Amino acid sequence: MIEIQGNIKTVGLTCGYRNMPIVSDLDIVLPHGKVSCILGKSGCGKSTLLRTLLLLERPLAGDIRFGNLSLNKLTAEQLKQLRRQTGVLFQGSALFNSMTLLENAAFPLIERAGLPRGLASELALLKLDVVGLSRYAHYLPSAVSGGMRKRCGIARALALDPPYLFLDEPSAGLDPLTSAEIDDLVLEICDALATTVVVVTHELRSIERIADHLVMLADGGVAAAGPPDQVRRSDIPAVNAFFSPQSNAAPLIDPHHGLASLLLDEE
Amino acid sequence: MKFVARVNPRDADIVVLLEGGLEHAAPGALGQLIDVVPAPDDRMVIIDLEGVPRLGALGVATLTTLVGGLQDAGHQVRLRAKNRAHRRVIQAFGRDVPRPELPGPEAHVLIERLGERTIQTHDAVLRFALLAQATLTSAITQPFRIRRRRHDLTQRSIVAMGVGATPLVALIAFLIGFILALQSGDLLKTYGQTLLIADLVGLAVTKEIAPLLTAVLVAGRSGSSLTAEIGTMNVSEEVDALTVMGVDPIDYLVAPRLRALALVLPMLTIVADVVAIAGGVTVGWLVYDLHPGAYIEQTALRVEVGDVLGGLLKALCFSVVIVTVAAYQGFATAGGAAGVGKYTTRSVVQSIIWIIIVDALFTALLTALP
Repeated sequence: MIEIQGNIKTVGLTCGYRNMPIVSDLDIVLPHGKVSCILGKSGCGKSTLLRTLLLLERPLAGDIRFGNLSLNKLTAEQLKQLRRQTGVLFQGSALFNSMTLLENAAFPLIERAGLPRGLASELALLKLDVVGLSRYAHYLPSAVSGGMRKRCGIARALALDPPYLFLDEPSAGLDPLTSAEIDDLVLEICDALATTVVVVTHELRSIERIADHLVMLADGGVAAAGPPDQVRRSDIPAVNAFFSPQSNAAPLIDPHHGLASLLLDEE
Repeated sequence: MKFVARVNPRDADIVVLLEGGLEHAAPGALGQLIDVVPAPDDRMVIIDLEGVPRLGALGVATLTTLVGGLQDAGHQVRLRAKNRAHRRVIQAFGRDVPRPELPGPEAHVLIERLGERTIQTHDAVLRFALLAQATLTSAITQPFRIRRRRHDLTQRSIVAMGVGATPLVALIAFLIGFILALQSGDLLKTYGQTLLIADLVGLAVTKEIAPLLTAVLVAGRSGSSLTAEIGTMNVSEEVDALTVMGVDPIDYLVAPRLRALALVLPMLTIVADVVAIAGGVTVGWLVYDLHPGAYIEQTALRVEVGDVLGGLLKALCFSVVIVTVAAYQGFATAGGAAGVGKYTTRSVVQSIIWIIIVDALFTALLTALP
């Protein structure tokens, strides 16, 4: 088995659906062993970029490199290995609804690692313990709260101790306390296992807590990238608008469009 | 509740004063307004909203219709709103109000649409073929692997698809045999050949009705549930979760079902064969006074092993149709809970259509063979 490690790097990456690019020509580096946050307004292409990084969508152009593996030259066997070494938390957790939390967490161990059921369950219980869910191991996902489902999703993503962990809006729709717990969990994991974590988010609070590296998307490209302090200090309007939304943010609705453009300027 | 338009035609601009609430404007209002406004010339039509006390999204919709109508009539239109709240509402909602589409697209639009549909159909056929190929490959290779042979999933599906469907299939098959015997008996009686009911029921059932009927029932029962299951998983990103974990969704979700159904559907067909003939026996005995022993002997004389096997072969093909169509629609599902319902319906309808098409091809082929 090849160990895949190192930065995730995109080279001239353009992603989108069909022939419609949503973000284009991205050259970003998500550093190894750090927590990187991809942020931006809703609809700016964060999730599209994530789906492309997860190889769920084909990029329209460009390349992605995981360590020294290049997406464009990936063999089927390497793709399998890569899948095995990425853990993913989806926005809606995407737990298998017909399985208990324990079976969910054990699923990658049985399916990917080929462990026998008993051993897989034991290991999965340990993972559930890490996220504080061992008491609820035999509950179905529908019987636990949204925050618990997220935590179980993280346990499942971590089942194989992957060197790459992708989290799609881990704190969306959660109360500040639970969201902070999840943030702490992410930090612990990153420290303990030297995992490369990629978080897609738009929660300022969680960005402040966990990010080592920021990639800010706007207007179909990268608006800013770098360590949080550096990005915050930049004077790019889109970045400022994001971090202090009360200030003169670009209006959501274009006043020079549609019916509004017919208004006589009387003021 | 209504709005009044006052037009003063002698000014430099045509000013239309609207009064009252716009949200409950009468449907004929637009026509009235266009009637009062003079024919388009180089003057601007200014719609003044000063007499409108409140303006909401509905009011903006009315306004959009008015403006659109005037513009279509060739006017240049501006809005005058002194009220700041009005201006803000127009800015907020003014864009999202849909304009009625212009009827009668031009020729090149039609050709574009035709082309688009052609490409879509081509893509769909290609995707279906790829899915069918992947499913068949997986289903055939699975039992011969060392790991991930998916016997447990297959077994579970066999129970769900087979055991659960048996009473239903038996009941329907019995009734169909019963009906066939009654209908044909009536005619055959006039020729004094009631024993031929056994021939007719036996042949019709084994060659045609049992496989077709069972397949249609199973498509409605198990095909729909497979589509709903995959569709729900697709909508809630569970299929993506499988993919990123390196588990092939086709191998995990579809192939075991195909293996199960390829076994179960022929078996259910045998059940249907036997029970439908039993239905015929019942009618023969009770209505036409045929001895069950004689009836069964007559059936055995007439129906050959080849007839039954042909029916079972059909059932095997139908199982592939049911599973691939159901899986295709499941993976195509989008649009939340409503989408699941829509694609499930589509799955059942298309399964039944394709079952009958395959049946027709098959029958044509079998009869053409010597």
